[in-house]
Amino acid sequence: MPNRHRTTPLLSWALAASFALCATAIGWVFWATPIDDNLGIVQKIFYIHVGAAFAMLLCMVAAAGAAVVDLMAPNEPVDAFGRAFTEVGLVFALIVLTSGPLWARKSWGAWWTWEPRLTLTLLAAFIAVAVIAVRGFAAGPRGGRKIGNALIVLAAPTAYLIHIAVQKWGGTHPQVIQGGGIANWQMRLAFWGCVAAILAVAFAMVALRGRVLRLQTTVADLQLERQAVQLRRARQQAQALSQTALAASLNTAPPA
Amino acid sequence: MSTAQLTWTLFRKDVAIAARSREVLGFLVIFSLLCAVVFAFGFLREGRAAQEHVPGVLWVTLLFTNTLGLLRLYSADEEAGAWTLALRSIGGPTPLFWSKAMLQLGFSTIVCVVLWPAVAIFLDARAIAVHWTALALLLGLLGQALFGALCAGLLAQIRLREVLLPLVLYPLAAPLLLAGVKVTALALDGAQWPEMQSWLLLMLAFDAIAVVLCPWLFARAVT
Amino acid sequence: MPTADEGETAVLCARSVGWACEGRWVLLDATLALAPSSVTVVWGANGAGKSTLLKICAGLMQPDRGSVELSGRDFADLDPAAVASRVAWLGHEPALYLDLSATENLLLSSTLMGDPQPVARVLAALASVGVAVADCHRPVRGFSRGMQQRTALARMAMAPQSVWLLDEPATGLDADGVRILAHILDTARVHGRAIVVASHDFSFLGQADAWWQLRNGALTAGQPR
Repeated sequence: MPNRHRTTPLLSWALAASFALCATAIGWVFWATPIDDNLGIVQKIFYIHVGAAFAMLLCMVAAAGAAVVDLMAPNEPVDAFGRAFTEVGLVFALIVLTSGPLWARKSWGAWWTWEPRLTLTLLAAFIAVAVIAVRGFAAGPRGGRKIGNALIVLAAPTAYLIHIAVQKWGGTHPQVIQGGGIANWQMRLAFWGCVAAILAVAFAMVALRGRVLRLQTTVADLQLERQAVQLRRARQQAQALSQTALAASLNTAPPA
Repeated sequence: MSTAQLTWTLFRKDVAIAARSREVLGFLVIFSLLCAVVFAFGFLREGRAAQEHVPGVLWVTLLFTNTLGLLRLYSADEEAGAWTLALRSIGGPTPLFWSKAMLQLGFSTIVCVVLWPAVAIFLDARAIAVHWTALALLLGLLGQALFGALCAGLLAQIRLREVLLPLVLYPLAAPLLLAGVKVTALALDGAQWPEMQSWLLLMLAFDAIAVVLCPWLFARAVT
Repeated sequence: MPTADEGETAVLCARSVGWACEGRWVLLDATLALAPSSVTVVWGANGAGKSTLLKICAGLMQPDRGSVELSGRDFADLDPAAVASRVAWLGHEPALYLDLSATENLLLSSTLMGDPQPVARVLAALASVGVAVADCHRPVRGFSRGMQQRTALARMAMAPQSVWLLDEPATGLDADGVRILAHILDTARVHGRAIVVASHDFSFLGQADAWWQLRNGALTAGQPR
């Protein structure tokens, strides 16, 4: 019997290809691109940092979309992928929040500045942690699912306001890519290669995680199905037993 | 029975309970004063605390006090299972949400009325352009009450909610805090409407989103 | 098992309801049809799923399998408020605000149920369940569990809903309280209510119309021996 729950070859290949692409891009960054004149070797973080930020943003937006859809009309696959987007989004937010300060220390002279994008990323990471925690601690999966979705729906417009607020509040915003974009063609190629590779990895991670979550649901459903069969059989046996007992008591009844 | 009438009935009930037990509100006021004192200790320089700390102390203390109040917001309803009675009202769960948001707004306004002059005295602030700060406080407390009533309701049935409520509420309330602190600081510097306009509009936008989204989410997600 | 005909005349009908928790079926294929003017007893051991069944019938929980219908309309298509206006539910807890008096509690709940009552009617209802006049204006926090349950029963006695679901209504009641409960149920049946009582103690229910045992997640007809 073919096992339809086996990881599809397509997904495995996509995952392998994305990691290969990533390795190539990182190799390219370290061996084939020139060292930046102003920032030196630290500038190389930029290739990973920006790609991770793109991946985080896409994941968070997708998670918000999935939350709205699932809240309007509950849908298992949408919920599974919504969760996967939230979790992968958090992973990339952590990458952004780690790589950012390393680079900021060198280029702006401070580990952290309350720059709009930094602040928004930090708060988005906190919200993602809150959503994941609420889903984990709610009594039963039903309640946690609704509450987590409600929080994401609440967070989406708030994120926009946070962005405006910090932008107005922060004052100077260090500009990363000046007007002309990246001048050096090797840097440009490496940059877009990295973005593509990291997005591919993010996509593969979401696909895998979503699949794992869906499989968990399937396994739980199958276990419940098996339990249902056992429960119905136990009921039939109990019924048969009581009928036998009734018949026995009638047979042994003394003649009137 | 309209939603407004049911909301009013539930709100009157909450006020009656608060008036009778009196414990929560009293402790909230005392906590807020204590919290402000602790902050003042943290900012003391040569025995004096500067006016520049007023916005931060005021808004953060209010947020902490609100968190404490929100954790007790639904306690009377949960105590003997009256929660389900209010949720299953003829108007659905929405009147429960509105009554709780009103109660929280009332509590935090009372706390604010005591706390604000106290902070001003503790930190030796001048009373200038008070009306702008008052407007910002009103908008800020309204937004916090709406978001808070929703989050506390969502988390009411979850264990570890004391830990989860700040985790959920603080990132979401960040725009209110940023804007509120800014308006208060500008007001103390003697700024006028043109400078504060955009911050107050931001708070208004936040409240508008809260008024639309929070009751809808409460009815959908609270069980 | 109720037949299709019974299902059609029933006020409330749970069809093959299933509900699982932590990978275990608490209810599976549970079917229950309630006719007007009837008292139905659901009995079974502790943890058999009686409370869960009643909560699902009250619309407080959604079943994983099957459906619940109110006069032929699925709960899923109905507004929660519409369900609440037709189905009254009394759970394990008395659902009282402990800092309010018995009178205030009943006035509040009658308003919430969309059927505001005059104070005189509330006081009469409290008197009928044996709450002394002097106690009517005291916060119910000072009441014993039995007195709180009596107050909750007074609320049920005034409930306008056509379906009543009572979960262990005799909790904390003394012999006199149990007689009052039996009387309230009798009166409600005469007035056309469809009543379900879930309990493991049924000394107070000699005259029920239907007996269902909840076992292995499903209901089978039969009286306890």
